[in-house]
Amino acid sequence: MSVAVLFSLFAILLLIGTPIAVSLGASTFLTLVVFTDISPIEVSSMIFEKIEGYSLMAIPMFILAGSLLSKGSSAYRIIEFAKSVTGHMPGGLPISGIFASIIFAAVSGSSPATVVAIGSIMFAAIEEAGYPRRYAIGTVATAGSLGILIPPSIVMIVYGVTAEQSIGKLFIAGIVPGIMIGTMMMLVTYIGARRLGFVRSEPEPFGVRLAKMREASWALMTIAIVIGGIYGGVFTPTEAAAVAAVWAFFVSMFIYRDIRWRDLPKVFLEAAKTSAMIMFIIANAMLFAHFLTLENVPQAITGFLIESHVGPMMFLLFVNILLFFAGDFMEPSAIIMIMVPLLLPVATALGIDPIHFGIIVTINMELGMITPPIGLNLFVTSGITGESLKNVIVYSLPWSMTILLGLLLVTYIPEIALWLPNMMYNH
Amino acid sequence: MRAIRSILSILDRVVGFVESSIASIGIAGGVALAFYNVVARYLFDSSLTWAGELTVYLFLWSTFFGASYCFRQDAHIAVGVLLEKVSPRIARYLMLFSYLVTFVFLASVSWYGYEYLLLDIELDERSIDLDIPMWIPYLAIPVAFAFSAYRVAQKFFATLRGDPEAILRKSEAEMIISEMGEDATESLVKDVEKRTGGML
Repeated sequence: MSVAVLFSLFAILLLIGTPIAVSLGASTFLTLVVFTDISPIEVSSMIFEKIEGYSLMAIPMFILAGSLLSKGSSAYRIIEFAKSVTGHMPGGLPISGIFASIIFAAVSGSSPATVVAIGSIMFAAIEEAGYPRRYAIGTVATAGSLGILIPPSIVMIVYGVTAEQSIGKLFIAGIVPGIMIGTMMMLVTYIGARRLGFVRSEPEPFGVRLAKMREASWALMTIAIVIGGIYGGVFTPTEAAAVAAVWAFFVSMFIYRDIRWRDLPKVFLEAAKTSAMIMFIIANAMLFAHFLTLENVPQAITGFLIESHVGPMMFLLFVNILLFFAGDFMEPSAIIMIMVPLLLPVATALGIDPIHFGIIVTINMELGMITPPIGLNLFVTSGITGESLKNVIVYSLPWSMTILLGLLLVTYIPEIALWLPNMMYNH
Repeated sequence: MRAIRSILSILDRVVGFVESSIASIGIAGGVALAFYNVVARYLFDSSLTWAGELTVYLFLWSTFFGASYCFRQDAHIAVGVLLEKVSPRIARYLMLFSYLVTFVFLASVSWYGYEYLLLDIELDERSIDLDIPMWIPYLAIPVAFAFSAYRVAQKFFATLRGDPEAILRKSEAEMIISEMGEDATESLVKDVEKRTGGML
C-alpha cells in the first residue's frame, strides 16, 4: 500500500514537471511521515547523512576535472591525435571521430557535451572528405556515449556506492567492454567505407604523429592517472579524482592555457552547479531507496522472481528492457539509485556477479542517451547540424545497433567484463 | 511598496552571493584539500586525519548551496513532456502546483532540519575527526533549504504574474550548447529545448 502511494506520488510529481530530485524527496518525505513512525526531523537529517560517504565525493571532483578540460583547445588536440592514429585507414576520418569522441567523453564526463565539442569540428570535416552525411552524424552522435564505460565514470561511482561494490574494480571492468564496443563501431565504419570505395591513404610522418600524441597526452593523462593510480594500488578512486582534478587544473591553466585566472570563478561555479544537480538527486534518491528497503520491497521482488523460476538469462533480458525504457525518461543516477537496490538482490540470488551487473547497467544508461524518444545526444546533434531528429536517428542506427549488440555480448558473456578485474584482483 | 521592493532586491542579491560563493568555494576547496592530503600521505608520510571529514563537509555545503543556485536558474533536471502537450493555460497551473509542492518540501526539510539542529546542540554531538560540534556542518540543511525554498517562491510568484521569462525553463541541451560557446542562436536553443522537453 505505502509503496504504491510512494510510486504514484513520485510519478505524478515527475509528470507535472517537478525536478527529479524533488519528486523523489517529496514523495518519500510524505510517505515516510504518513506510513511509518519515523519523525520528519529524522528524515531531514537523513538527507545530510545519506550522502556523507567519502566515495561519493569523487563525483564533484571528476565533474570539476571535466569542466576544466572541456573548455577550449583540448577537443581540437584530441581530434588531431585521433586523426594521426586512424586517419589513414579506409573510413579513417569517421573512425577518428569515434575514437576522439570516446576519449573526450571519458575525460569531460559528459556525452552530450562531447557531441558539441567533437561534432562542431568533425561533422563538417567528415562530409568535406566525401563521406555520406550519415558517417558524419551517426558516428559522433553515438560514440560519445561510450565515455561512461571508460574511467573515470560518474555512473559507475553511483552504482558502486549503491551496490556497495568496489569502485576501482568497476572502473577496471569497464575497460574491456568499452574497448570492445568501440572497436566494433570502428569496424562497422571501416567495412562501410571499404564498400563505398574509400581506400587506405598514406599515414602522416611518424614525427608528426608523435608530436600530436604529445600534445594530446596532457589531456589523456587524466584517464591514465585514474586507471594507473587505481590499478597500481596507489590511489583510491576518490584520491584519484582529487589528483585528476588538480591535474586538469594544471593542464588547462599552464599547458593548454585555455583558462585564465579571471575565468576560474565561473568554471568553479559551473562545476558546482553540475555537481549539485547530480548530488542533490542522489541525496533524495537515497531517501527513496531507504524507504523501499525499509518496506522489504527488494526481498519481495527477489522472492517472487525466484518462485516463478526465472533463470539468469531471462532475468538479464528483463533488466535490459526495463533499464532501456527507464533510461529513456530519467537521469542515470536516479535510475541506478532506485533500480539497483531492487534488482541487485535478485541478480545475486541468481548467481550473477555484482560487478558484471554494474557494467550491464552502465551500458544500458548509455543506450538511453542515443535512442529515441528522448536520447539527449540525438537532440544535441540535431540542434548543431540542423538535421531533423528523424534523420539523426536513422543515420545513427548502424552505430546504435552496434552498441546494442555489444550490450547483448557483454550481458551473456560475463567474462568480457570480468576477466580483467578478476585477473588483477586475484593475485 | 518601494521600500519592500528594494529590501527584496537586496535579499535577492545577498542570497545569490552567498549561494554561489559557498557552492564555488566548497568544490574548489574540497578538491584542494583532498589533493593536499594525497600528496602529504605519499611525500611526507603524514596526512591530516581530519582532512577527509572536512573535504566531505565542503562538498556537502557546495552541493546544498549549489542546489539552491540551481533552483534560481531552474537548472534542476525535470521531465517536461506533459507540459509540452497541454495548453499553456493548463501548463501554467501545473507549474504553479509543482512549485508549490517543491516549496512545501524544501521549507519542511529546512524547518525540521532546524529542529534537528537544536536537538544536536542540546546533545552536544561532535564530529569524529575534526572534533567540532556537529551542528556546524549540519547548518547547511536548514540554511540552504531555506534559500532553495526562497528561490522556488520567487519562481512561483513570477509564474503567477505570468512573467514569460520565468516560464521558459532552461534545458540541459540548451545549457550545454550555450556553455560550449556554440552558435547558440535563440531559435536553435528553443528548438532543442522543444524537442527534448527539458529532459536528459
